Amino acid sequence: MSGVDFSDPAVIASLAAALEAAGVDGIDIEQGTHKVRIVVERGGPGGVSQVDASQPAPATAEACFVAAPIAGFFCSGHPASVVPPFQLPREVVSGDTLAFVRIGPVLLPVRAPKTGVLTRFVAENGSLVGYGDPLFAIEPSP
Amino acid sequence: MTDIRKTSAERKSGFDTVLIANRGEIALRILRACKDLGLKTIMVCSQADRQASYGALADTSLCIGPASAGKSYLNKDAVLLAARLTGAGAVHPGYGFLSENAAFSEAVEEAGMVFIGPTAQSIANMGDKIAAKSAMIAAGVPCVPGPDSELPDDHASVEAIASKVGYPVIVKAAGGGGGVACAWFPTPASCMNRSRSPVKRLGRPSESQRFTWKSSSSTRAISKSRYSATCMETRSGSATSDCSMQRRHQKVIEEAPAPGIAPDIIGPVAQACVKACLQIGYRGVGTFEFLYEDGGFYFIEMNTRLQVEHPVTEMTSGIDIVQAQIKAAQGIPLDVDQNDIKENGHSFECRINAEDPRRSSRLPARLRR
Amino acid sequence: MTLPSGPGIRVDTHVHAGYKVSPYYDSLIGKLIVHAPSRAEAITVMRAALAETEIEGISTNLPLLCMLFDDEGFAAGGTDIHYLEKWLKQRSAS
Repeated sequence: MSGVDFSDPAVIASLAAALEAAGVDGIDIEQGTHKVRIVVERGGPGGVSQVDASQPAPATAEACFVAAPIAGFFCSGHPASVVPPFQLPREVVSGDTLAFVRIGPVLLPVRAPKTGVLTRFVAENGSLVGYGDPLFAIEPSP
Repeated sequence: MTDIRKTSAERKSGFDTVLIANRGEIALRILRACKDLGLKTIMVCSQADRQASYGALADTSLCIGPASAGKSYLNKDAVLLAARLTGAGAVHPGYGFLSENAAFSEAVEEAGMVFIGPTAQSIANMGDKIAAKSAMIAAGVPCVPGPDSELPDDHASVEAIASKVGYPVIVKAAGGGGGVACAWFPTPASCMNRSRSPVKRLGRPSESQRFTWKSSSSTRAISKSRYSATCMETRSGSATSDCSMQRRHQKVIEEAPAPGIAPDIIGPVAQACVKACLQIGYRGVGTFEFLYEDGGFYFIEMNTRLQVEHPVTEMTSGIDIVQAQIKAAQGIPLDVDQNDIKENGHSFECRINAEDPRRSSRLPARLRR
Repeated sequence: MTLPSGPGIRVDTHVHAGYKVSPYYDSLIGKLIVHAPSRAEAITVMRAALAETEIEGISTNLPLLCMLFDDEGFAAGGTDIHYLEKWLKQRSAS
């Protein structure tokens, strides 16, 4: 999956279709010094909107499992980040970027669907995850 | 992007990992064939099929989308993404879903993988009933009487053509498969009835091209399963089966060989099919469907995929058709010639379906045991 | 669930006890295939195989298949593509 050419509109189109099919609103792509932002318009006004990753997740009163919005490799932190991975448990606010699903050089942010405490990662860092696979659990704040 | 788009010469060099883009019994059937050939397997599934136990038999299994087929098994991008993520060398589409989708075949090959099935060109040609019929006539395959082109829009012209062909007639959408979009007119009166007119019944814009064939009350559907590999060395083979037992135009029981049809009648038709495959540059498994009437065969359509009923042909020919199909995709010539194929004994296949309670209510109560 | 087995019998299926048939896809849950030296023998093998097959919990077309393999017209061979539809109509009328 290395060397995907983002100047090729077909690649962008295929990617956008995959995102749309997965119910994802948009992604940020970084490749070297280049940055690409794809926003899937859905009738309403365009713009960067939040990834509703909680949609396919089986939610319970106790813990909310956040599921992968698309198949890809799970990254528990930004691969290029110099900041060390955060400690668990950790207080999170709805909309925080908590992890990524990587498809080649494409990083799809997975955001907190609600405010609470990120208690554990279910998926292993770097592992291949399928659509709807649980990635991490958020429990209500004590 | 060039580094992942292999040339066709490289593509022929083979593969060791097959992604199975299907579900149910056929996914399991393909998985077994791959294992027997020493190939690694990747099974994709929808959310609804996570419970299916066969996924665990694959080397890798991956959920690609929600339960709805349009968002999973029919979603070309989701299947291609899974193939790229898992490093698949080939994609087997099974039957149904994306198996006869020319754009998908093309996309798989453009991504540098092998589509286990015919080229996009073959799928597109055979999917268009009018183009398919022209190709078959060119190869000397006997075809149904009727026009070789699109039907006109006005009712009187359709009537005139129907009268010339001879009743009863079937009017079928050019792009429809099997019993889909198929209208049956036993007499001119039924055709005259405006509410049942072929124009009205098949007049949706997507089905604007129509196609007529002759039929009669004694017609049987004979399906000729065949396979050919055309690469360095061309070999091909064919065997017959009968799928007359249909309900609402869907097959219920299939058998091979077709009862009551002498092999010497079938022989020349089989040879014509082989010739047609070579002429159109066909690759892999395909099925020619014929109607049989009064000692004559009439080509109706070609299915450019593995058939649901491929087992009856496997049982009588002793050939593992799924393995042969995969080997053909690897560029390995068939190790049998048309003349080597002997049909032994007799085989039946019953399709066991879960009945929708609303639909099965049409069955008489005493059918229940 | 009981599936038939023995010489000349093949079952292609993905279902197992506890499997839930999904409403999202076609209703094919398996294929029962038999092979014998002659058509008459193959019919005998299929009758026995169908009788041995038990699928509980869901309604299937097994009863219809059993009736068809007991039908004289079908056993004689050479039935046409309208045979089954006509057969079903006659059955429901009588």
